[in-house]
Amino acid sequence: MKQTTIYSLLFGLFLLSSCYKDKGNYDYAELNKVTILFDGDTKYIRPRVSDTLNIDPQLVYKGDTLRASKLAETFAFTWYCNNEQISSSPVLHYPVRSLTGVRPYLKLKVVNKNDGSTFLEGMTVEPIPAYLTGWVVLTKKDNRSIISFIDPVSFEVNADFYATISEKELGPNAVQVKEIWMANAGLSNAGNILIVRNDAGGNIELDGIKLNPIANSNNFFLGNTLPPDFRPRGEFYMWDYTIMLDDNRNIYVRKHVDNSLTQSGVYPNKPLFIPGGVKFDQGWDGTFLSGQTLLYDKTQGRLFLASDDWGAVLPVTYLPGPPLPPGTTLIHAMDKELVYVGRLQQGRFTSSYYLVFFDGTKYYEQKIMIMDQRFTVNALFMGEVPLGAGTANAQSVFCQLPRIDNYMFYSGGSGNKTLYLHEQGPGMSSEYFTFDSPIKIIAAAQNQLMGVHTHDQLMVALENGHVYILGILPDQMADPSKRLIKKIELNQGVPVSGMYKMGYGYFQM
Amino acid sequence: MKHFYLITLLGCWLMSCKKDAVEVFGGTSYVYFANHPGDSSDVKPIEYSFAFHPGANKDTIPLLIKLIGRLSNDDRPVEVAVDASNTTALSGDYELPGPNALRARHAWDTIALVLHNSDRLKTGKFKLRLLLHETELFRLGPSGNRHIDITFSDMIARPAWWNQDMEQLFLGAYSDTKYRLFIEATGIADLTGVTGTERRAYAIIFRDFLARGRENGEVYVDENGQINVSPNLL
Repeated sequence: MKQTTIYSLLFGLFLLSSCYKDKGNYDYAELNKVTILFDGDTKYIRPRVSDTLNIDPQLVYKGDTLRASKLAETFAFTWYCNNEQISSSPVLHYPVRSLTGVRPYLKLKVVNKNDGSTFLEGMTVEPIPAYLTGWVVLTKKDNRSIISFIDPVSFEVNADFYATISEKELGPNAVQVKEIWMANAGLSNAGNILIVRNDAGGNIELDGIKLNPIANSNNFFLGNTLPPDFRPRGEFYMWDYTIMLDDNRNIYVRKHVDNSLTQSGVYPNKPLFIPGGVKFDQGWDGTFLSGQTLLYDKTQGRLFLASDDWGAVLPVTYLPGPPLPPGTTLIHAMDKELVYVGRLQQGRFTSSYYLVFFDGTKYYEQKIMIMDQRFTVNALFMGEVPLGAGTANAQSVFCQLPRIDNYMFYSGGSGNKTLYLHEQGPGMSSEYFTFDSPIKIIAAAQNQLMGVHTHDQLMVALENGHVYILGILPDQMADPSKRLIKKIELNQGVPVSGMYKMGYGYFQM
Repeated sequence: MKHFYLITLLGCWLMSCKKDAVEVFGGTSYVYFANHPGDSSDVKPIEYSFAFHPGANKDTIPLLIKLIGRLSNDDRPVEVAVDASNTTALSGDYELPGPNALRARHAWDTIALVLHNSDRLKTGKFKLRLLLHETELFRLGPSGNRHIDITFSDMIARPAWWNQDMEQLFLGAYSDTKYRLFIEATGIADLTGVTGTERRAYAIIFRDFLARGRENGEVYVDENGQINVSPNLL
């Protein structure tokens, strides 16, 4: 009994000891937390591949916000790319091209030299590929077609890149370059470059990032059999359909099996039949990846629309209404040659266009809005006026800014060396820039400025092989001295075609 | 000792299996019909329809013959004859223009059989059996390759590939007339194994063929009425 009592007391003592309240007094050294901030407080950055990073982060420390470059005595800095140390400097100077991985994760470790406290912060780098955006110029020299890329920021030229990258020749008959996109899921891909070659070799598609050739349109005909005497004159990419125009004025319409790919499906190797002996001489892209491609039968003087709606090719007719003004060039019976179509890229099945007609001496400009109504295609007539009277000439080339209705540029003047700006609103033209050689091509850039996609630059390529980049933003339009951004002595021959490669598919929507 | 007798007996028995009908590299030459130059299996009968060759009044069928034996430096005639008892075709339905020979330095060759089209062929199939005959120069090859049957007509029938999908998505309801026009338009009769996008392309070619013909005054009708492709062809 006595032993039981002792054991019970000991057990009770142990039990109560667990209730002991720790009233210890601990002294902690006060640590000053450091918050690392990258400019823009961003978790990712999008430099160009050709850039060099120059990151001087801000540290919030003891209530102050200071640049890392001012705190080198207090802290030790270590920069990592995907956990591999790349620098121990407070400011990171590092070429983007040297970062490893597709989306490198950049991390900064800051260690307080006094107490060893460590702080980390990081961000993802999404490099913009070198060839994602930029100017592409097709020229001809010594019976060679040459394609060159001009960086839109540094204006560094990658001349004759097709020959360099593919180690092949384009041949002498390349006639057009354009950017083409994939639809649907493919919209997040970079646009590829299509080179239209007016010879039996067929059109070539180049990868939009690496610029290497990835497809030849000749390989997409039924049974791998080309139509007889086939030489492409144009190829037009829409959402679900692609149209090929050849030198025999025939068209071939292909439906994409998978519209997230540029090349899918096959062209029939016999031409599409259009009633009434219709043949096409030229075509123009409407709204890219849209339902509209405009086709022109010069012999019959008729305008047609190739629709993404069923892949139909239908004549464009005016909407019924009041009589058209006398002297209007009728789109179903043109008495003048249609030489240019300026698209406004307004919508998928409905969009406006400026049609430029030439009667051999003078130009006329008609604005229409085309509405694809599935079984019929109608045009709303919006007016026709003379264009470039006294300034435009037989060699004039035109460039209507898509979406920005008011501005059309064209060449003219003595020797076709002057660039004119035609403002559609007031209907007046003014001299914009004068060069020392005839103008061969004009192309507009589309960039994202302050979150808005707009046209900010113009490329004018001259017969002497020089290329000019001009500014077309409001302040540059207002002040002629601000218009010239860069003169590039490309010297790759006579320009044939040019464009601004705008990049990802959703940029052009 | 008992095993020795058994093995000897088995050996003798197996020796009787030796095939000596065809002496491959001996002095004797053998000739036979074949399906392909690299195929020595029994020859398969040939089915031919003029329906798949629109507008043809006659057509030449190459019949493959092969040699077992040594190549010769001279052309060697091959005797081919019609087996009348197994032939329903009339003599005017075909001809063997010759020369029927295995050319010098050839291990295989072709014999031309010309088939003639006629209205009779639109309503019935006719069979022709050709036999190889033994000559001083050639003995006959394997028994399954000593004759060949050719069945020919100008008849057409709904092919297996013209199934419900084909009907609904591309070509519409089947008729013999439509099938003949399809072959005329596209130059192809068999879409077996052809992808959907290729089927669509052929259907577009057919659609345009009908439209072009109608613009030129042609009338295309069958038992279903106006011949058209499927309204679902997009």
